[in-house]
Amino acid sequence: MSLTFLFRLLVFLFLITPAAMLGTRYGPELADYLAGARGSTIGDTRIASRSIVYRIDGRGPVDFTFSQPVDLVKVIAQPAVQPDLHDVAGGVVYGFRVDLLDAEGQVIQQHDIYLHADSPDKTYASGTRWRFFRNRPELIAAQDEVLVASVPRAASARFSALPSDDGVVGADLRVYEQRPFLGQQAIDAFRRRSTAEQADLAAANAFPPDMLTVEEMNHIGRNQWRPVGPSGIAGRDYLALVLYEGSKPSQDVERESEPRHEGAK
Amino acid sequence: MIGRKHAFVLVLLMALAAGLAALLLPPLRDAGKVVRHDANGMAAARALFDAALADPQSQDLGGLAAPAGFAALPQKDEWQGVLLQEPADICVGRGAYLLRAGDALMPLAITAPHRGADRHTGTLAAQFFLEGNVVAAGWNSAPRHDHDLCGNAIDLARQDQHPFTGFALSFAARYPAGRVVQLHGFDGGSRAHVVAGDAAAIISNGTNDPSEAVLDLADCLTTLFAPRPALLYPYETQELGGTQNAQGRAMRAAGFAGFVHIELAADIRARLVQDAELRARFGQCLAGGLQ
Repeated sequence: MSLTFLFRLLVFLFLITPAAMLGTRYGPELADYLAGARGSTIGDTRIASRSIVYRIDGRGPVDFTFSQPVDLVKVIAQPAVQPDLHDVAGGVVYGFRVDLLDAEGQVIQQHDIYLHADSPDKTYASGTRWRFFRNRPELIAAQDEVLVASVPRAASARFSALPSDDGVVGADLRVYEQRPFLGQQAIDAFRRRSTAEQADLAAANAFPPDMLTVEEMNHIGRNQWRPVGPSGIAGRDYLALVLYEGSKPSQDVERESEPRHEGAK
Repeated sequence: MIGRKHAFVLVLLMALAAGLAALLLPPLRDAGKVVRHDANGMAAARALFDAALADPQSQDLGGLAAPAGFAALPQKDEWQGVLLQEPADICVGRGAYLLRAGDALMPLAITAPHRGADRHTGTLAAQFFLEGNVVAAGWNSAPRHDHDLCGNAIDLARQDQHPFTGFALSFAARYPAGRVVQLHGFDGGSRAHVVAGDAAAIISNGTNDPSEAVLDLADCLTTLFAPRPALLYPYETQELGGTQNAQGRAMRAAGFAGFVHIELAADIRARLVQDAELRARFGQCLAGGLQ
C-alpha cells in the first residue's frame, strides 16, 4: 500500500463521512423536495385562497381608477411563464410601467418597474404556498409586492407591459388602495374584527391584541388595503384571471385556525 | 352599442318579467297554517313532480296535484309549462314550482327557500326562470320566520320530508347531470369574519369538498363581481356553506352531485334585480358546463 493510496483513502473517508451523515439526516426531505418540484406547481394541493389578477401584456395598457385620490398604490405582481420555463435557472426578469394620472388624465409620474422572480419549481419547492391557474397552461413564478408613492395624489394608474425575458407571457397584477380610515375609524375598524383576525393583524407585535395601545390599533387599522378593479369591459379592455393559491398539506394543520384578510394578501 | 329599438325591447322585457314575478310571488302575509309533511305526503309530491318534469303539459297533472295538495295551472302565454302551487287561499307552505316545457332546455333549477326573509331571492329566481331557458324554479310560499302579519313559518332548507325536497329529488332523478341552485341572502354586518362580511357571494356545494363544477362557478362569479370577492366554501371562508341543507343532503344521498348553495350579499341581490345585463352574466355562470 503506497502512501499516495493511503492519503487518497483518508481524503475519501473525510469527504464521505459528512456526506453520509447529511444524506441520512436530509435524504427524505430532499427526495420530497425533488419529487414535489418535478410535479411542477400543480401537485397534490389544498386550495388556500383564490384571487383575481389582471394580465398586463402586449395587448395594451390597463387603467385602474381609485375611489379617491391616493398617495400610495400597492401592487402585487407575479410573472406568468410558459410551462417549459418551470425550472429555468436563475429565474426570470419581467417589467411593467406604471403611469400615475391625475383627475384630468394627465400623467403625474411614470415608473418603469423591473422585478426578478424565481422559477416556478423553485418557488414551489422552497415555500409553503404557491400559485397556479386551474385551466391555463401558464405557470406562476415568485410573487412580489411593490408600493408606489404618488406626490401629488393620483386619481388613477395605468399599467402597461415592458420588455421581459423570453417565455414570460405577461405580468399578472393585483392593485390595491388603502382603506380611507382615519383616527377613530381606524381603531373601530380594528375592533370590529374578530378575535382571530385581530390576532392575525397584530401578529408582528410583541404583545397580543388585547394589550395593544390605541395608537397601535390606529396604525394597524390604517394599514388596511382593498382591491381595485380595472376600468372598461372584461375581455375587451382587460383580461381577468382567477389565480389559485395552494398550501402544502403539512402546512394545513398550523394554518387551519388562521384567518385571512386583505392586508395579508 | 344597444340601439333604441333594442333598449325599448329590453325595458319591455324587464317590465314583463317584473310583472310576472309580482303575480307569481303572492305576499307571504297570505300564508295560512303550515303543514308538516310525512312520508306519504312526500311520496305524493314526488309522483307529481316526476310526472310534471317528464311532461309539464300532461293532462294527468291535475289528478296528481290534488293528493299532493297542489293545483296544476297550465301556462301557455309567456312561457310553456305548468305552475304548481297551493290552491288559492289555502296556502299552507308547500311552496310554488314552475316547470317549463320545450326542447333544448337548460337542465337547471333555480330555487329560493327563504324568499321574503332573504330579500330579492324569490324575485331573482323568478327572473332567472322567465328570462332564461331553464327547466324549473321553486320557492317558499310561507315565511321563514314568524311575524305579525303571518304566524306560520317554515324553513324549507331544513325540511327532509317536504315537497321542496321532493321537487329537488325529482329534478335530480330526471336530470342527473343537471344543477339545482339555491339562492340565499346574507347580512355582511353580522358575519363573524370581515372577509365574509365584505364578500359579494359565498359559493358552496354543501360539502367540504367542492367539485370542479363548483370551482368553475366560483371562478366565473369571482370575475363577475370583481373586485368584490366571491368566496369559495370551505377554503376561503368557513361560514355559510349550507352543509346541513336538507335538499343538498337528500340529493347527495341519492347520488346527485349538482347541488349548489349560493349566498348573496344584500347589495348584490339588489343590483342583480335591477341590472338585466349583470343578471344575464350571472345566469351564464350558473349554466356554465351544463349541456
